[in-house]
Amino acid sequence: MQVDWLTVAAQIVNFLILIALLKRFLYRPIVSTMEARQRYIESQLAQARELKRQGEHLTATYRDKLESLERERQSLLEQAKREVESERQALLDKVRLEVEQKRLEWLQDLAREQAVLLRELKSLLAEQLVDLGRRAFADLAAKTLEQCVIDAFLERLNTLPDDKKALLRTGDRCQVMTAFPLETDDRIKIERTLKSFDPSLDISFECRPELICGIALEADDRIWHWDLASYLEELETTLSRVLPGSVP
Amino acid sequence: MQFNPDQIVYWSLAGFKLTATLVSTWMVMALLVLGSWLATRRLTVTVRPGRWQNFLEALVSVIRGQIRDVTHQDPDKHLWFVGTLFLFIALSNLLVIVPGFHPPMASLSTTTALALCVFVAVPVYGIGEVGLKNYLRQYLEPTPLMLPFNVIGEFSRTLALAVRLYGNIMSGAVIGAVLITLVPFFFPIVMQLLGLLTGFIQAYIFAILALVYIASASVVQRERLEKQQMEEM
Repeated sequence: MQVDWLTVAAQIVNFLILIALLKRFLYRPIVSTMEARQRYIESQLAQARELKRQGEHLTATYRDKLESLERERQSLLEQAKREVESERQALLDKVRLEVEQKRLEWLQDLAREQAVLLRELKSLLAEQLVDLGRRAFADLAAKTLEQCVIDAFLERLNTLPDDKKALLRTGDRCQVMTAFPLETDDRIKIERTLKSFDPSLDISFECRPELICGIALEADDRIWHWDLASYLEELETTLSRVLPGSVP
Repeated sequence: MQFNPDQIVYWSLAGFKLTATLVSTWMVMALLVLGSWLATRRLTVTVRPGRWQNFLEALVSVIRGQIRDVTHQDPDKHLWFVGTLFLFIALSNLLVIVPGFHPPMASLSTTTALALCVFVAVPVYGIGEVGLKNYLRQYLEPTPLMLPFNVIGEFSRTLALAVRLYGNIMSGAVIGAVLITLVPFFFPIVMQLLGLLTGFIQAYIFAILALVYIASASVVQRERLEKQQMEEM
């Protein structure tokens, strides 16, 4: 075991050289690289944090926007529902109105048809009644219905109260209207009766088929008459009341 | 059989002998420097460094971590000295397994040289930390009577370092050689493996001891200086 001092000196020099070389080629580059990487990672982390912050901010913004849109959508939906409901109500009202109008029109049509039917019925009844009366009177009293009508009219004139008779006298002319053409005898009979009230009366005769089997006297804007029309009106009233589906 | 590589002389001129110790040392130096240069030629800052860069970074990180754990100081000011000590001794001892390689640590001259380096580094670091006057004052502590003992302590510490390293490496080589002559097969290989382990541990211990000496001297000095400054204030 011996120490060679020359070798010791050489080894010291070698070691110092090795320190210098390793410092140059190993420690300095490696440490600086690691520090650079540390800085790089820290900057990346900072950047990531910043990006995360921005991302969170963006997320919050978009969440707010989404909520706002959702609220707007709900509001629009509610508004649309309200509008649809009001539109539906309006359409329903319109349809109801139209149906009501149709119903009224239908009722009016029905009433018209009923009136026409009643008129026809009335006409038919009148004809039948007149025919029936005529035949009955012919069979029972050997008189025509027209004669009976004229007799009944003259009887009514004769039984008029005096004040009514006076009214008849005030006029200077009178007109006798019949539903049927008068025989000469019948005309003379009527003229005689009227002249008995006032001999100066100017009497004229006229045939009016609308007087249903009747006779009327018009003098000084007053009319006295006897016909079947009043009876028929009563009948019509009765029929209207009993006919099914009659118009209220 | 030669156990001391100092005694293997390849070439001599005017008293200078090119011994196996020097040649082995240069080989280790060349390996270290070349390897470092090749690995650090193309360093990248990206998070995916190359294989060799990764290895060297891990190595340097471990050394720095050890220095930081021991000294609780900034590791970079001790890194190049302590790190080089460790790498040089470790690689020298690991290369024992290469046939024909004479470990330089089996030479007391080499271990003496390294111990002398530590011996010088301790006051250099101490003076660098607290200044020459404050550093020299520690030899008079706690009383000037202790001056001789303090000086003897410094030298004995250095001697202990040198002999410790030399004894371990040389003994390993001696045991291996003896066993090869006694039991030619298998057992010497186990001893070689054990030698690798002890060589590596010795590198670690030497570096750590050097670090502790340097750091303790500078830390003690700095604490004392700070205490004095506090008292003066």
